[in-house]
Amino acid sequence: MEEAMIRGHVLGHTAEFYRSRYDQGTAARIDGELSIELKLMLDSVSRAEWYPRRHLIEMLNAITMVRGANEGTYADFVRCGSTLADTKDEFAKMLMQVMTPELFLKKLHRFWTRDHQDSGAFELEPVTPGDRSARLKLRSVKHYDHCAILWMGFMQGVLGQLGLAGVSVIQQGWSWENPGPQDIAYEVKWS
Amino acid sequence: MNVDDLTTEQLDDLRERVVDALITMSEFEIGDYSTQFKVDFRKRHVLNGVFASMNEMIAAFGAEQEQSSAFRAELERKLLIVEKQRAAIRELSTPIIELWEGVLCLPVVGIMDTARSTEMTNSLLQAIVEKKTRYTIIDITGIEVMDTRTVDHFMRMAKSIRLLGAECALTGISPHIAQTVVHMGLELDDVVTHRSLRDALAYYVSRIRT
Repeated sequence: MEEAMIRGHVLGHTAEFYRSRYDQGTAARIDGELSIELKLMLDSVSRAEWYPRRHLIEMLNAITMVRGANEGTYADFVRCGSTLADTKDEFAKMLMQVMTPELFLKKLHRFWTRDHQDSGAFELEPVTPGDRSARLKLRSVKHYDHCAILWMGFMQGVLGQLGLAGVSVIQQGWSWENPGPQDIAYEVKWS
Repeated sequence: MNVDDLTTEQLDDLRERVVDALITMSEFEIGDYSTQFKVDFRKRHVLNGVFASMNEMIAAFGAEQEQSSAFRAELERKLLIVEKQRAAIRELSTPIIELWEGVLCLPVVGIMDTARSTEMTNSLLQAIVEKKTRYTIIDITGIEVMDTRTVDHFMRMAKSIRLLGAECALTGISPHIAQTVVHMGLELDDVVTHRSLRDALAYYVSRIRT
């Protein structure tokens, strides 16, 4: 079986996030928890390249180790995912101008496959038009620690950019005790 | 056909195609040149031709990038070889020879600059410590020109050697260099000089034996 891979821009974004989010001492402690292989790689990460997914897991676990398994870290993971949607790329900005929440949820699997190789898949349950809610499943992501929260943040970030009010994304499956479940269920609502 | 003439279904279909296209372009934007627009030739659609052309453009760009990456990799490989060769030359330019037990010799050939002098001093001091050397001979027979800076390099080298408890002698000073040193008023008082490497070696060997 091939090793699960992730796009470089997700790794780069996560590293940039914790280095700018926390004070220098905390960021240095997180850096200190990373393997030499990952530290060296982060110096020259290319946005489009594929890297082992375990590097992202290592980073997220290092953040948890230093910051603690608590509400603050949870909120930071959500924010990290949300800011991943906050792009400076021109085409991605144009995309947000024509996107609708229904279409975004329908195309979420493409965003996932854009950033992941050989791991997991998003499945959208049939949406009733005008319902302003949807149910999704992220399947086969066992041992992909904390991805449930990161991608919950991503969904919140994109839906927020569409100018929707009352966006709510709830996940089921992830917990600090079980950070990498097999499947994760999401319930998305907006008004 | 005007957009106003489209049915809601057709409009939704158009929007979805545009979204698909923009997702593809956003993949292209992050540097993924393997991405392609979805072209469904089974259905006649006004955008099929545009998407097919865009796919050709992306493929051409990808091929160009690949060529450029290969060129860059080749350049980096060559630079690495040059750097390795430079390191080998540096090493060869500071040969330290143990002439006798307790006597080291550093023959200097060519031009002395700060980088080379630092390299030589480091290698020589390390050899002195490793071999527990008492006497060191710096032979400058191969040096044609000596200026203030070069003399300064040798003086510093000699001082460092003395700090390690070893003696330092300078040999092979050519008449031209001797004249230059005097003419420029440079001081070599702190360094023992011998006419030739042979003289210095004979002197130190006799000292070792007595």
